[in-house]
Amino acid sequence: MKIVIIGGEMTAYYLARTMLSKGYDVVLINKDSELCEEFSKTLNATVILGDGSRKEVLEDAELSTNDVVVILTPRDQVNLLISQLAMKVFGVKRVVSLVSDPGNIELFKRLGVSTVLNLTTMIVNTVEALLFPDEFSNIIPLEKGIEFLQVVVDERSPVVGKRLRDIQLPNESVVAAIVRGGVLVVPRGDTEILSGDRLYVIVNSRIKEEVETLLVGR
Amino acid sequence: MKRSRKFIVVFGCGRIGSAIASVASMKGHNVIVVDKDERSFRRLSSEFSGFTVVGDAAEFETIKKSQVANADIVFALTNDDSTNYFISVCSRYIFGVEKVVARVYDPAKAKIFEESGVEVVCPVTLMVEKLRFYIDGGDKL
Repeated sequence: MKIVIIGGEMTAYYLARTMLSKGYDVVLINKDSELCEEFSKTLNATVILGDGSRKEVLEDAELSTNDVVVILTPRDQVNLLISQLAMKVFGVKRVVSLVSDPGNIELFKRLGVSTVLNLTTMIVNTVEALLFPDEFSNIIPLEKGIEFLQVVVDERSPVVGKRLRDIQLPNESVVAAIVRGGVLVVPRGDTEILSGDRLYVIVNSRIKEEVETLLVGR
Repeated sequence: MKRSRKFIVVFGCGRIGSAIASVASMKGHNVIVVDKDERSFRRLSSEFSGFTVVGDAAEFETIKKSQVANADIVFALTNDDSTNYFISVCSRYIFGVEKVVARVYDPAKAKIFEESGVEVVCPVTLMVEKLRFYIDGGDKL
């Protein structure tokens, strides 16, 4: 098993360095000759100068089915093509790809690239987490349109002292877990919400605000 | 009954794209031709009566804007294999277009197009077939 990193500049470098330090074998493929020279001088990795979207270049990398391929070029369509070459021609099962346009994530997933890295989405999530108050933060989008939220209940919250079954949560939302003083409380209908509880809620993105108002009371 | 008037979207208005778009338009089909450079539409025949869209086909929005959702046939004829692949799979998987034809420069990539249900036209393969004639049967002068 080796980690094959295709494209990318400094990200590729730091990723390779980190993976090497963890003891993995690393192959770097890049079509920039200066970068390749720099990589080979400073990293104990196999460095291949070439276009990673070409089958011959991937053959040089001796791509095999149990490798992990990380695709980091700045162009989505190139990344998509490389991912499909790796999966369909070389039988690689684990492919991680950078996707620049959030609108393309769906297409990558449709074509079997399960792990996509999208900087825009990551930044949006981070910014939104800052915009929402502390007690209400968006953790991760689970799937398209479904999100996982964390809500910290304080004494001002309208749900404090209520039992779960008495809270009129919209249909497309569910309290998945309650953490109370660091301990997991499995939510049941008769579970009472206390101040300080941390609620983990799975919610349809459309009704996120509605759930927010209900739990935080703003 | 088969519709005789087809809706055809052509990506890439180079020599081949412009020619196929012109032919299709002159045959009475509805044609949209897409290119990122407005000047390339000058290659279209004066009898071309379809529509043109300026945009980068490597962007999902451009493909959407080009009304691929209603297309009977999509031709991916830009000068870049990755872009053609992107156009093809968007058309097939997102917009459900039945017939997608792509030009593929690198024969090694033909397989992944075909596995995605895309018909491939590979200039190298075509040329080689044509040239083989000179080896196999070129001696009959």
